[in-house]
Amino acid sequence: MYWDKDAECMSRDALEELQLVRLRDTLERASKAPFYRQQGLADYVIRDLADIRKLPVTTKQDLRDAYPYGMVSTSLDDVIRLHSSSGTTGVPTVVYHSAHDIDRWTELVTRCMYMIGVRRSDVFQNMIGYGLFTGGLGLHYGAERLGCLTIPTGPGNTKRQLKFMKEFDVSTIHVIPSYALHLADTLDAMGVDPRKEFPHLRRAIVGAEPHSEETRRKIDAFYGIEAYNSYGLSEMNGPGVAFECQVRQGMHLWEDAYLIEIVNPATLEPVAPGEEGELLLTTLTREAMPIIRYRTKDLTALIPGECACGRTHRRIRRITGRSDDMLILKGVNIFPIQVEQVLIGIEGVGRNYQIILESRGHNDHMIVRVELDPNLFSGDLTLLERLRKRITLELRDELLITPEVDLCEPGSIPVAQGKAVRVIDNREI
Amino acid sequence: MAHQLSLFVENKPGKLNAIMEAIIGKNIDIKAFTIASADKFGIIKLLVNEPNKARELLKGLGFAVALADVMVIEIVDMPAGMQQLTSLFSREGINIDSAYAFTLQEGTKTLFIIETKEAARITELLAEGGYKVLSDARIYSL
Repeated sequence: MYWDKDAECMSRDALEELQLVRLRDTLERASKAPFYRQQGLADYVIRDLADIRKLPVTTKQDLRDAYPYGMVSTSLDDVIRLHSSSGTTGVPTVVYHSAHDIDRWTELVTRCMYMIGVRRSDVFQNMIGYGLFTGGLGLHYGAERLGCLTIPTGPGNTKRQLKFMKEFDVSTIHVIPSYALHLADTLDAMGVDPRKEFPHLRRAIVGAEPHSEETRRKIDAFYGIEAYNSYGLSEMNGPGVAFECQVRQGMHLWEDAYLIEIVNPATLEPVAPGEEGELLLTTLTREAMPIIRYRTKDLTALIPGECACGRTHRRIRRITGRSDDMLILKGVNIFPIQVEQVLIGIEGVGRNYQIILESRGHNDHMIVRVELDPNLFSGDLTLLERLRKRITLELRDELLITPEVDLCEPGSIPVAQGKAVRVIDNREI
Repeated sequence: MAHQLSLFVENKPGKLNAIMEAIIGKNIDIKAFTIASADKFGIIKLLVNEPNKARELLKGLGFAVALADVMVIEIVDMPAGMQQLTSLFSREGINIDSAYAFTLQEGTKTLFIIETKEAARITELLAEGGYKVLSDARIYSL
């Protein structure tokens, strides 16, 4: 039932004691990184966990400013891997891991998978992106540590996914919720009943994009399985930060690895217990790149009370939104500014743009509307079509998903006053 | 050489009407127009008597407008006259990017409008062949 009972069911007192020890260690390690040394992190006195509020927060921008190695607190010789955000126009956010860090991360993911019943006899198909994105490799390592037969299909190629699921008797899949629904649509269109087609399928791990309880119930019902919500972010390793247990009432956030704060995003003051706010996380075991009070920008709340599963690590609710303008589409994080930066580099279109997100069936689409620059219009239809294709390709290179680009008449897109106006989200979540 | 107006428009109902409304009552005479579309947008091409004036007018209304040179060739006797011209182009290996035609007076004169990157060469060939290439002024005096 538990992968690491001592850790997962530790008493609150013992857990908080451990957190305090690890927090002090973390601060000591972090103060070796140029970024935190500059902040004078070593000078703060931490008497209890509440003292963390005295420390400055760390933002995504700080990570960018410290690029490439300003956040690294060990020798680079000790770093064995990096993961990085997408994008080519801005400075990427890079997270570095030592061998110990990868081992701790893997341990957390293994704990999550074991918690939902995955064992060495299971066959695990990992339909999430590998590479710089943390989702694929994170679960992959956990599944291998458990001893599962692990199939690293990555995302896409629907026909092959379905073939492998069937022919290798896959019991567990890792998938973004919209893709799980897209697969369901495909099966539906083929007239295939997934309960008969995949009799061995037991569970799905769904993560990388926010989804509703209703979406989860759809996935459950369609495949005849149980879907478990997974939460993570690359700055905090990736998947394995918080995960649902079999009770499925909130995600246990592993407090022996992360210190949780829920704050008002405007004031950074803690919210009342159980109230919604922005999640701040501090790494407690990371060596190569400790991060203090990281602003995840994810909005959630702590669930009061104990969980029936017996684990003592507190639970967070489903992520309900963001305190910034980041969009999540097909599991990919997108900032509207990335679109703007691509458009600035292309002659023939203006800088005013609009992003429309739509659901077609269960597939989410991104439409980018851009205005033609009237001064550069030649009257040639072929050139316009070429321009449209070029914008599409450059956006794809930047965002890692392919948007639909609409060329619009000059002046037809409302000039945005705030950033939010540029994005129209018509998706059914 | 004659001139043709090209307008960029989104492929939506009411677009053509907006253009007509804009130029109505402004002493602009439209001799021909054509629409080429690529899914969600297209280009409306207009042959008008005062291309510069029409361009300024439409530009002022926020349209993306371009003015391009086109060759307007007078053809007598369709389709035999047309075939004579196309066989000339074919023989000389001349490519036409875009073209349209309209009849001025039934059964007698057809105007064949072509967009090409080889205007200089075609002009020469047409002169040798005795074809009439019309100017803006000439088109509207017809």
